[in-house]
Amino acid sequence: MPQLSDSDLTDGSKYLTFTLADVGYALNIDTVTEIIGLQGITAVPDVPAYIKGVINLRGKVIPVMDVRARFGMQAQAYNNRTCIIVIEVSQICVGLVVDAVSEVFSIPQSDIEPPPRVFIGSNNRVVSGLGKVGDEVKLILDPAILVGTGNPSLATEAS
Amino acid sequence: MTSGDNQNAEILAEFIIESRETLEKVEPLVIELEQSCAPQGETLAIIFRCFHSFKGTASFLGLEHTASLAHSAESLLDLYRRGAPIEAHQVDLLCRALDTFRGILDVVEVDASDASKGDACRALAAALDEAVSRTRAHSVPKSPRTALNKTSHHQDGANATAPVVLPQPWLPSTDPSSADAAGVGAHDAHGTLDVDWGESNVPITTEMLTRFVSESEEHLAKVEEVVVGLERGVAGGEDVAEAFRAMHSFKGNCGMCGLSDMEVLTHRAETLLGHFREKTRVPDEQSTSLTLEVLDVLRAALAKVPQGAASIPQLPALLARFDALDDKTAQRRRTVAQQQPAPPADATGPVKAAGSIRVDTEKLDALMNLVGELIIAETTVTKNPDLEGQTLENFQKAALHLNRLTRALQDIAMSVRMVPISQSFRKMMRLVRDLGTKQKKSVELVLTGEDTEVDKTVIEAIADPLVHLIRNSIDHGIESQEERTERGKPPSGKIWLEARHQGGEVWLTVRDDGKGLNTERILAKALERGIAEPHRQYSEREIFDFIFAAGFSTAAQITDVSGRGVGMDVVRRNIEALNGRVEVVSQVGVGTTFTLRIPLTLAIIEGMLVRIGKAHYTIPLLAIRESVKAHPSDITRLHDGKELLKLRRTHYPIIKLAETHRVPDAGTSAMDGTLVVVESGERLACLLVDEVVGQRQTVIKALPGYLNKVRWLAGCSILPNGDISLILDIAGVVGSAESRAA
Repeated sequence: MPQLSDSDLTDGSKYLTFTLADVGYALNIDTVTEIIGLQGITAVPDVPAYIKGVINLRGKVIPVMDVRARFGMQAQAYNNRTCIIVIEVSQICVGLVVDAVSEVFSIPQSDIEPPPRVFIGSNNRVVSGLGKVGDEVKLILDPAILVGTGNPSLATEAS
Repeated sequence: MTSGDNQNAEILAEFIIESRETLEKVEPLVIELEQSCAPQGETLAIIFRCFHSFKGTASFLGLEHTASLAHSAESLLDLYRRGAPIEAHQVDLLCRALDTFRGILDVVEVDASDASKGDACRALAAALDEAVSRTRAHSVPKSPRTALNKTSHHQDGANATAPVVLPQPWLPSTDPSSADAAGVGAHDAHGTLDVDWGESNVPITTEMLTRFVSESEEHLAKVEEVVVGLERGVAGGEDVAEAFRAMHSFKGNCGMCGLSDMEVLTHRAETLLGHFREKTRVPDEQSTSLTLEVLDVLRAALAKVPQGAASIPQLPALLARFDALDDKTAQRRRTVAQQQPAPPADATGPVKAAGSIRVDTEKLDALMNLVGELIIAETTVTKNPDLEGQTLENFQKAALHLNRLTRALQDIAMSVRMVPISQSFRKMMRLVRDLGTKQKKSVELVLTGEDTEVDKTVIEAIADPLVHLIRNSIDHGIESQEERTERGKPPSGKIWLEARHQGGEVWLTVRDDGKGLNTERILAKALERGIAEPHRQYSEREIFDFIFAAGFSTAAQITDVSGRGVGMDVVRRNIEALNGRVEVVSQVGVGTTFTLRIPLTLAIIEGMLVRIGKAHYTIPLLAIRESVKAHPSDITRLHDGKELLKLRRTHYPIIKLAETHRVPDAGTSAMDGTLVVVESGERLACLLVDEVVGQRQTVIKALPGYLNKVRWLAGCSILPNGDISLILDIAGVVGSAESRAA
C-alpha cells in the first residue's frame, strides 16, 4: 500500500486510480461523476467495437465504452470486480468499463512526469502523464482524448 | 360607432394589463433615480421608453389627460438623459405621476375615459413643466450622448449645429414628409403631435438589438397578415387597429435604436394604417401594395441591423409615393378630424383583463423533459418486476391514482406547447397572393381548421413543406384562367388548406382543383432520371411516389419559384423527421391532394415492442401494416439467399436485422419468427422478429449524441423493468436494406 505523506493530502489534484490488465491508470476526479457496478448493457449495432452499448442510469441513457477494447487489449470476461466509471467531458457523459477500481490519491504536480516521447501514435497521446504514487507509477489519462471529444473521426476509427 | 367601442374595449383591456406591468417595472427604477442621482444610462433609457410608449398608447386611445401628463414627465426625463442633475423632489413628482397613472388605470377600467382625473393630471403636469423649465434654466444641457453605432461620429457633429428643439405638444408640423433625423412627426388623425426622439442618447447593447429584431419580426408579420386580409376584404376593424399598434410599437423601437430611416418609413406606413382604421381611406390596391412593399423593405433593413448598417436607399422614392397617396386623402382627413367623436364615456362596461404570460421556451423544454422522465419513473415503480405475482390491493389503488395524475400532468404539459396552426396558415396568404400575381393566375386560398393546435416544434418544421406544396400547386397545378375556362372550370383556381386532428395525429391537407398529376409524364421523367426501371409495371401510387425522389421535377421550365426539383424530397424528409408521413392522391383534370400526417405528440410514441435476438426494439405503430406468422409455402427464396414473403397477391422482401445490421443472436429463419409488414412511403417490406411482445406507449429519448447517428434507429426508450429498447426508424431500415441489396 503506497504511503501517503502529509503534503500529498494538501497539494496536487486528486486522481481516481483503476486497473486494466494489471496496469495502473489514473483519471482526474474533476471529470468523474460516479462509479457504479456493472449492469446490463444494451448493445447498439453499427457502432465502433469498443462501444459496448448504452445503459440506463437513473433514467438517463448513456453510452458505455470498454477501455480494454479502446486500447486494443484483449477482452476479458466481466466479473464482480468490473466497474463502470462515469465521466463527463464537454457535457458528454460516457461510462468506462474497467477491470477494477482502486483508491483516490492526491498526486502533486511535482510527482507527475510528461509521457516519454518514445511512444508516438494517436493511442498514446491519451496518456497525458506518468504519476508517481508511492513506489508505483500510474498512467494518467486525458479524458477528452479517451472519449474522443472534438475528434469526430475517432468514433469510426478502428481500435 | 359600436364597432369602434368594441375595438377600443379590447385595446383598452390590453393597454391596462400592459401598463400595469410597465408601471411595476418602472417604479423601482424611478426610486433608484432618487437614491443614486447618478444612474446608469440604461436605467434612464428604460424609464424614458416606458413613459414614451405609455404616452403613445394613451394618446391613441383618446386618454388626453394621461397623455399630456406622460408627456411632461417625458420632457423631464429627457433632460436627465442629457445630463441634467436630478433633484430628489423632482423624482418625487415622477413617483406621483406613477401613482396618478395607476389611479387612472383603475378609473379607465370602469369608465374607459380619464376625464375624471383631468384636474389631477393638469396639476401634476404643471408641476413637472415647472421643474423642466427650472432645470433647463439652471443647467447647460450637454450635447446628447449618442448611440453606440458606427454613425456616432456623424451624429455628434449634426447635433452640435442643430437647435435643441424641445417639443411643444399639439403643434402641427409644417412638413409631413420631412426625413429630418430629429424626428418631428406629422399630424395623425387624432390631431395630436406624436414626437419621436430620433436618436437615442443611450448605448444600445447587443442584447437589446437582438430583442428588438425578434420582436420587430413579429410586428411586421402581424401587419402583413392584416394588409393581405384588407385586400381580400376579410380584415375587420380590430385587425386594422392591431396592425396600427404593431406598426406604432415598431416605430418607437426603431426610434430608440437610432434607426431613423426605418422610423420615418414606418411612420408613413403607420399613418396610412391609421387612415384605413378611421376609414378616411379605402384600402385600394395601390395603397395595400405600397404597404406590403414597405414591409419587405423594412424586413430587409431589419436584417441588416445587427451589422449596424440599416439605411434605406429607396427611402425618398417610397416617401414620394406616400405623398402621392396622401394628396388624395388630405381633404377627407381634415373633415374627419373635425368630426372625431369624444371617446365613449359609456363603454361596454367594466373591462376584463385576460391573463397571459410570456415564457422562455427553454423552461418549457425543461418542463417537458421532466414530465417525460416522470412518466418513465412512474412506470418503473408501478410495474416493477419486484411486485410480480403479488396481490397488493391498496398499492394497486394508489398506483392507479398516481397514474391518472401523471397522465393528466402529461396532457397539460403537452398542451402548454401547443400553438394554433393559424399563424403558419396565414403566412401562406401572402405567398398565394404574390405567386398568383406573378404568374397571372387567379388563385384563392381557403383555410379550414385554423385553430387546430399543434406542437410548437411541428409548426416550425412544417413551414417549409407547406410553402413547397403551395408553390407546386400554383406553379404546376393551377392552370391559367383561359385554360380553366376552356375546361369548364371557374376561372379562379382554389387551394384548400385544412388542419384537423385525426386519431392521435394532425392531418394537414393541401388540395387544389388544378390539372392533377400526369402519371405518363411522371413515369417518363422517372425513367429519364434513372429513378424508374424500364419495362416494369408500376401502380399509380408507385408512380406518384416518384415525385418525392431527390432531384425529380417535370417542370419544363425552372422558374425561380420552383422547378429545381428540390421541393418534394425535402417535404418528405421534414415530415418523416417528425415520425410522420406524406400521402398524395390525384386525378387528372380534377386536382391533387397532399396529406401530411404528423403524430400529435413528438415525445411519446405508440409502438410495437418486439424482441430481436436478445435485445428489445420498438417499431412505431404508424409504420406497421400488419404482422403474420409465415407458412413455408409463403416464403420464396431467391438465388442470392434473400427471401420474399407472399401475402395475398404481393411479394414483400424480408429484412433480417441479423444480416443487414449484424444484430447479434437474432433469428434468421423466417419460419420461426414473426414477420412484421412495415411501410415507408410506398415501400413495403417485412421485418423478421423473434417475438412480438406487445403494444406499448413509450417516451422517446434520443440516443446519446456521442454515438454517431445510426440511421436506422430513431432513438430509444426505457422499459418498465429498466431495460432499454431501441426504436427503429423504419424509413432508415428499409432504405439501408435496399442500398445493401443494390
